[in-house]
Amino acid sequence: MSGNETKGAVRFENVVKKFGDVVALKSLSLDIVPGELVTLLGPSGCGKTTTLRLIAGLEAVTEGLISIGGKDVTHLTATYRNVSMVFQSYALFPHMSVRENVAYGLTVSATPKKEAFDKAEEGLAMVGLEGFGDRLPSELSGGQQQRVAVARAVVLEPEVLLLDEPLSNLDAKLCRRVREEIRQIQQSLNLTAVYVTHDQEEAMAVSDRIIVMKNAEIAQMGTPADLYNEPNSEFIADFIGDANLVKCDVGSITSGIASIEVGGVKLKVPTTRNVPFNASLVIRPQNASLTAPGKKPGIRGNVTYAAFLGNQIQYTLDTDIGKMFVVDNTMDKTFPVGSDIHLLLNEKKLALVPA
Amino acid sequence: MKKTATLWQIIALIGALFLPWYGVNGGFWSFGWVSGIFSDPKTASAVAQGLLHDRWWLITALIPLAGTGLSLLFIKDHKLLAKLLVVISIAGLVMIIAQGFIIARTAPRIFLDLFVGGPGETGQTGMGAGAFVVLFSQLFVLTTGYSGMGKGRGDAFIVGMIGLIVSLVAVFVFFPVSHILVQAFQGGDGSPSLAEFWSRLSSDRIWTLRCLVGNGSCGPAWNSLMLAIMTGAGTTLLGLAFALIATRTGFRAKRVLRVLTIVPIITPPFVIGLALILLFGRSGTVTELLNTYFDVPKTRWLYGFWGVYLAQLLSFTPIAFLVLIGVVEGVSPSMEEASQTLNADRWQTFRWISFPLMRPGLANAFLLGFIESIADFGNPLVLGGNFSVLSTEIYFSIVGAVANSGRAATLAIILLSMTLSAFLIQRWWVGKKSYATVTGKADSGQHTPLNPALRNLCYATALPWAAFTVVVYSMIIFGSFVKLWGYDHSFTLDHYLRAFSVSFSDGIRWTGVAWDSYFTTLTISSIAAPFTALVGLATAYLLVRQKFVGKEAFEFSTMLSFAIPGTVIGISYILAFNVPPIELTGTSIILILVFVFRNMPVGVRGGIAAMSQLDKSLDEASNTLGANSFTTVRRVIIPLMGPAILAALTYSFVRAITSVSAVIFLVSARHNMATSFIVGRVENGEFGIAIAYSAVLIVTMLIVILGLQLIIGKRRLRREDRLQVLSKTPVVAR
Repeated sequence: MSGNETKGAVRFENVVKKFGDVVALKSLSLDIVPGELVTLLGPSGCGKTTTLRLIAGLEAVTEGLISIGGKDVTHLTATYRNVSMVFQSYALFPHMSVRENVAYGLTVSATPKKEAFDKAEEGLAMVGLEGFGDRLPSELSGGQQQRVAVARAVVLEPEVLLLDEPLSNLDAKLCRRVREEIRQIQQSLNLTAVYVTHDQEEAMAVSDRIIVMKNAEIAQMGTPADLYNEPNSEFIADFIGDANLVKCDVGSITSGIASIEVGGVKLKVPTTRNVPFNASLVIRPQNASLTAPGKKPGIRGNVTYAAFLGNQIQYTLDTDIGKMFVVDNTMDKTFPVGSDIHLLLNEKKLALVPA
Repeated sequence: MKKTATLWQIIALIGALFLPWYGVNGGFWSFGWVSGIFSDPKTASAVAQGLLHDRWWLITALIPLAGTGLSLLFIKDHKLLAKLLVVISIAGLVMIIAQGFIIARTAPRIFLDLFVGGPGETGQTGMGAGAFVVLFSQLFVLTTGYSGMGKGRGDAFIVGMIGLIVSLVAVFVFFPVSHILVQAFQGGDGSPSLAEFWSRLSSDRIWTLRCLVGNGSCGPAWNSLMLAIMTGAGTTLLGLAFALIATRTGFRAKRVLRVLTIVPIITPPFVIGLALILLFGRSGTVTELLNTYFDVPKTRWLYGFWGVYLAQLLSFTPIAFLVLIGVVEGVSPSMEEASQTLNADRWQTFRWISFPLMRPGLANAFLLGFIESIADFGNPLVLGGNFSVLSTEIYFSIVGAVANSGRAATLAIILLSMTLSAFLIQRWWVGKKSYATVTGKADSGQHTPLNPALRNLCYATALPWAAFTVVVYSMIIFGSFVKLWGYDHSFTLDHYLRAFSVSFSDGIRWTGVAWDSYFTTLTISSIAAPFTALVGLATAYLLVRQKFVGKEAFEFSTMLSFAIPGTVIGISYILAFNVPPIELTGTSIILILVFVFRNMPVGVRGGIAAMSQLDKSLDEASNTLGANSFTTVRRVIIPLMGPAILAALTYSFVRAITSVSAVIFLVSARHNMATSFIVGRVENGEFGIAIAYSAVLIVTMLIVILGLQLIIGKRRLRREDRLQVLSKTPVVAR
């Protein structure tokens, strides 16, 4: 526990990873700040797990530099890096008791057994598993095993805690609880954590920052709110939350407001650009509302499917600008299948991305 | 890196200074060499040999050793040191190996002629403990330096292990086998001659087809090939029938079928041949009965193709069954259920779905049967008569009236190319075509029962065969208790007494004729077994868990010795290790080595299977928790591999006891093995003793297997104990 400011910082400089001819990472550069929880998010095969394993030292870089805590660790293997990892399968050693599992990292680094077991007991207490030390992993439930895996990784007081899809084997309700616990432990110990998942909701729920990856490179990074409100591409807009994407013409841009026209309706949409460009309009399902035709100028459409979910109604529409998915949370009025409607858009909540 | 390299450097120095460089007469462990470690030219260490006994080239060869030592002392730069260690230790290894080959007892003494003027008395014998210690520690200095250069992710343990296994396979598999090539090309005067090889290879005696046109017998090459094809086909069909019965019918005695698959593993290869002689030989039971009641003339039909074929079918059908039961079970029931929901009946489902899915597995079983048959030595030796196959021809070329190692080597090449082709076909053609339908997803559903016609066909083939197998095995018991089979069927213990009698008159004296070879066999097998398991499992670990350049070639070369018939290994070992620099013939070490490297693929396969079931993230978890690869192996892999280790131990022990083909070339008067002793009795016509001895061997192996199983059982018990204790202590949280 030194007062070193760079402790826990992770830095990638132009890291390339190839498996034979397959490029798993194209020149990746990134900085992770001490104490933050960063999520690597993306569809399968995007390189997020590879990135995590490179931090762990389980894979060797093909090119580039990796440093942890300001120290170049590019050529160190996992054994010699001060990081620990929670595996998707938990990877608990089946022949050791829970206590032996948690103490393993300490005993292999020559900590006296007594001290290691005491620390293991503290670790188990932290994840709420006091008194389970004598059991075998196979005698625990999935959620308990998961917590043992977290305890085992955390008792080493690593510079960086790595989590590889830690919740993918838990059911939805347990998943929400465990991710809160992980977040609390990470914040209370002020650990740097890197979290891999393909579930965008999970990513938004736990992260300080999300790095979305696609095709072996970073697509966008930022806070969950940044990514949701200001996506930089159709891919991000679609991947983070639901979105309807509509090609549109940008007329002019003045002081951060673009004038556009879709389906015969003129709109003013915020943008960070200042030169007109080939754009797609991002319409989140809750940012559009349905009215009966005639009252206000809207986009004409027809309801093809309506699903009543209790707290909301989901509509699928055929409109002048194509197929649309809209969610009505107000539930003031329901439109049955077949009704003609007008679609109204909430200008301030729309975003433009390059088409 | 420096610490590890220094350690090996010190060991190398000890080897060079204080261990006898050459093989010691009386054996290393007698320590008779200690007094003459400097003074006696026979037992002196390398340095003493060089300084005091005119073997100056040893000093030259050891200069690189000093080089690595100086580098370790004076070079501080890590990278430079690593590179120096690699370069200098390679030079050291090359020089030590080169001097071993160049300055031999018989080879031209280039150096001496040049420097001393005329041949001297200073040629050398086979390398001994000192030489091997120096060589291996130099090797580890090399691998440590190599990993220090950042290769192999800087993991000295892994790089060292790869280096060790590669050199062991090179020295004890490739080096001897290459001697066959050399020998086959050697003319009468010892110089290489292509013409000589060609005339041997194309010899009419090997390739004649007289058995097809006119009378006479075919050449051993055709005989081997024909026998192997028929055995492959026969065992596959029988194995399939058994596998279908075991998985697709309501047959009750399935457990008995499983037992029938284990028994042949603990049966020495020629024992079935012996039992067949008792049944169908000229004075066999069946022959006598047929003669008495039906006037069928007594003939010697058993000694020839049909006898060997019958014995091989009996011996190898269980192997096919083992392979095919996996294949038949591997066909996912949901595929068959899908087919049935699409309105196919049972026969159509079998014909169009199950059978095509099994086809690659059938090809695999056929090729295994082919390889086993063509490499088989015991059965043709006992039953072959005038029907000569390659493996026995090789043997007779070496031990026959006129030893002709050139002809033996040529035959070995033909045999080797047949097994290798089958092996390659199996790996690349069948291997790629297999439809793995075991997905790891929970597959519910049941296998479709066979349709009645097919079921009856299976019963009709398999059940009589199973009954026949039982009869054959019971012959082994009966035969050992009667005076003279076929003539005097009165009960006697004579055979056991002659072989295994013990006299207590003055202390215990093992007076039976078999004790000697029995003890030798047990000792050598139990020394070989742990080494086999170690080398096999270490190789499996490298193959499954590590990535390195040339891994595929590495895997291929370790599997290769599976395809090398025992006779070929045997002859290659006597050709290679009869002369310096490695002189091992007549020792027990050569027997241990031949078992280790012949049975290694078994350990590798078992290890790969067991290791593949261990999730790789267990290793990775251990690594990220700060354990290095050695600790990971020790604390995670080995404890979890317990059953696989025991299986490898058992199997290599049993294989060492039952093998005869390689051993028969390598035994000596001092180190005779049970199997070759029995073969000797058979050749003398002493069937009673041979069978009694075989029965004792089988019982011995059963005891060992059951004992080892008990140990596994105990392991499980201990864990259950722990659980029970646990459940008594109250658990608060939940």
